[in-house]
Amino acid sequence: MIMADILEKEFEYFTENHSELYNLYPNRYLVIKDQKVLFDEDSVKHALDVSQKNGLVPGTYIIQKCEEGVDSYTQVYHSRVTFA
Amino acid sequence: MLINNFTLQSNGGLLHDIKSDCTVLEAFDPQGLTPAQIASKKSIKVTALWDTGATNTVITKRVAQALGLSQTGVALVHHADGHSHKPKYVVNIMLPNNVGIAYVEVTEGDLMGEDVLIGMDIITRGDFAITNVGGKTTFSFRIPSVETIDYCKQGNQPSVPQKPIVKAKQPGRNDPCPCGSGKKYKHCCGKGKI
Repeated sequence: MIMADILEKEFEYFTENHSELYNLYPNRYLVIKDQKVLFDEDSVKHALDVSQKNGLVPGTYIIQKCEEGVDSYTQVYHSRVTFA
Repeated sequence: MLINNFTLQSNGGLLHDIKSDCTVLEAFDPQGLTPAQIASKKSIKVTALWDTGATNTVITKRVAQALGLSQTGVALVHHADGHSHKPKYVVNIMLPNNVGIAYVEVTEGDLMGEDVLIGMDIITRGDFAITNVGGKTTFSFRIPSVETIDYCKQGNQPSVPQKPIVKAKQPGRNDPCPCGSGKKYKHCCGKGKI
């Protein structure tokens, strides 16, 4: 499996379990690897720092902010940009 | 409080879009670093388009590859062609006059001509103004936000009362569908949306 597919799986875990994760980690930045939450931090900087300190290889985990509702991982582009 | 700002003015005439120089750098904490240490960081100088219709900041694949960025997340993006999942990265952004923002989460996307799209995630960190006095566009930006610009107040006119726009709470993928069908949202009204 290529790395982008693995990270897609991590994202799927995040979205499938979003409500439960929000109850456990409201407004925290979650470091997710192997479909598990390894760390929860108060900023993306701290999430990156703790991942590096614990030897996680960049590109093998995802950091997602866990906010209420689907808006936390949804972006909207009204003009000019396409994502083919 | 340290306020960082810059102003760009057209050479003459009105601007049809707002563009500025922009340097994208690998993510790092600039505190305590010397200018030489900062200059040694991987960076790429590009043109950025400022877009209030974009919720988030976008970089092209070219920028991500030039900086050797590792993917740090995934975003669900809604756009003119529908919706898709796109990679996210963390970078530092340097705007004109050394207005810098560290640890910005950006999304990879295809742009038409530029390499960076500055979205509302950056615009809302400060004050953003466009004026067109004498047929000449002036664009000014500062971080952090320090003052409300209110043209009604400046002209001693009452502002039009408007109720704040409240966004309806979105159900989660696995929540019961609000239509009352008893199905999960993702299998009912949310099908194809999330």
